[in-house]
Amino acid sequence: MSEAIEAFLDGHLPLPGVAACSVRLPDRTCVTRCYDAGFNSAQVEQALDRLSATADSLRQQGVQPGRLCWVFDRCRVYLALHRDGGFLACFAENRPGATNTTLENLLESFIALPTLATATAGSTTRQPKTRH
Amino acid sequence: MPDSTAKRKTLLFVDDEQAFLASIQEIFSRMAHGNWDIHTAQNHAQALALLDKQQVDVVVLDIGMPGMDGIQFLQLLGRTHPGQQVAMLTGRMTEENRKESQESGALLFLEKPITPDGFASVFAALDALAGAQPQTGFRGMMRRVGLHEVLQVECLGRKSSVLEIFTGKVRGRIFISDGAIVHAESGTLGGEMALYGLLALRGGEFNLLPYAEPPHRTIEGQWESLLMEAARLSDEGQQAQEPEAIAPPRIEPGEESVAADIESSVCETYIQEIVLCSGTGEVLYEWQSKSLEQQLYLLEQLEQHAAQVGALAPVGRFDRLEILAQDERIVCQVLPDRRVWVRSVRAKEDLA
Repeated sequence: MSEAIEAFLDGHLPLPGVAACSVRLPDRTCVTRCYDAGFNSAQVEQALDRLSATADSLRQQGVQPGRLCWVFDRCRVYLALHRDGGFLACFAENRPGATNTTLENLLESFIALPTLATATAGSTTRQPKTRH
Repeated sequence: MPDSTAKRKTLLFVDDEQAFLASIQEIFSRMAHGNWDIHTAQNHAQALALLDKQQVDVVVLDIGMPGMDGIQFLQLLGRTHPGQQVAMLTGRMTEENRKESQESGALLFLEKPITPDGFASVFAALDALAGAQPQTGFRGMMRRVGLHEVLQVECLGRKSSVLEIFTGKVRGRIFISDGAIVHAESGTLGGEMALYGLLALRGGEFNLLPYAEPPHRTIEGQWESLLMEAARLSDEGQQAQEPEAIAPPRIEPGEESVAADIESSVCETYIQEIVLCSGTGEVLYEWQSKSLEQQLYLLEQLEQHAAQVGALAPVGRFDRLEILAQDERIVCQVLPDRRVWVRSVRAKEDLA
């Protein structure tokens, strides 16, 4: 049911300062939205592989992460992990000290989704809608 | 007759004069009404042998002893028995001895008594020290770890503390409030000048003390920028043993700083684990690490994964990963010159 996830993303996005978002469902299906010309869905989804590998390593250590944030010079990558095994990644500009409450709402809303369905295969991408 | 309600106290007197030790044993046993266990040693070897066998509330050292004097022995105890309470009891009441004793960790500096009142006074002081609750927190040694690393751990953990630094010639304090460096003082210097001077010291000792509000808050800005500036000054060869020798800092307008981050509300943070490594993964310091090997492995993996993400997307140089689990927060920093793992428990969840 990636349609439900697409509807979920479209209900929250785009957001100021967010360059790309991607949801990976438990069956590894991805739903990706890119809003900056510097990002494309293939890049984002490959990056997700690496990010999720770190999350897996943490689980192997007995750490059950709910949220992760990779801090780079120019970008912060937020990862919200759903109990079904899927996750949402957001690539946002790095603005130290700023609180992005709408992004926060998106991450928390994703975690609070009752379930992530796994029906549709493949990847759906829409880009670029707007550029920030 | 012993007072059954009083806590029994154990003291070790170290003095090369057998007659003095005998007097101490007799007089203090009487004054303590059987509530003191008094041990004596005529040299440091006897004292160390006893300390290895038995816990002692207070070690009382004479200064003027042959071979190894009391101050040298005090410094040795600081390394072999960190946290051991020590008092000096000497006939050499010079200011130099007092200063050196206190800087080496002695909690009391007392004059050898010769009158009944003098013995009573010394007894009261030692009895109070032996009965004092141990200071909370840890005291120990951190070898090959610089002040930069200590400050980084405090700031990353959003701790509040006072870092007291002293060498033979310099004494200073750095105040950290909720993970921000807010004040530094050293001699007549204050603010960033004092901070950079202290961070330029090549060696010395430090104590991490509970936070107390400084007389003035003289430092603003992010701790990363301050440490970077201190490192830059050092790199330029302007560091010296005395803070007075440090040139005024040059703050470059618009200089980029990597900010600390996770937006936070004010809340208590309890550090659970710390691992500090060099850039090549050599462990420099670890505290309460439950699975060091796994943590090192994760830091290594994180470095690889972050580099791969950096190659895939225009995100820039990696600084750190912040992890919020159900009841804990982990910060993993991977930089070319260091790797840091800090796990803490926070009262509130606040990852943004």
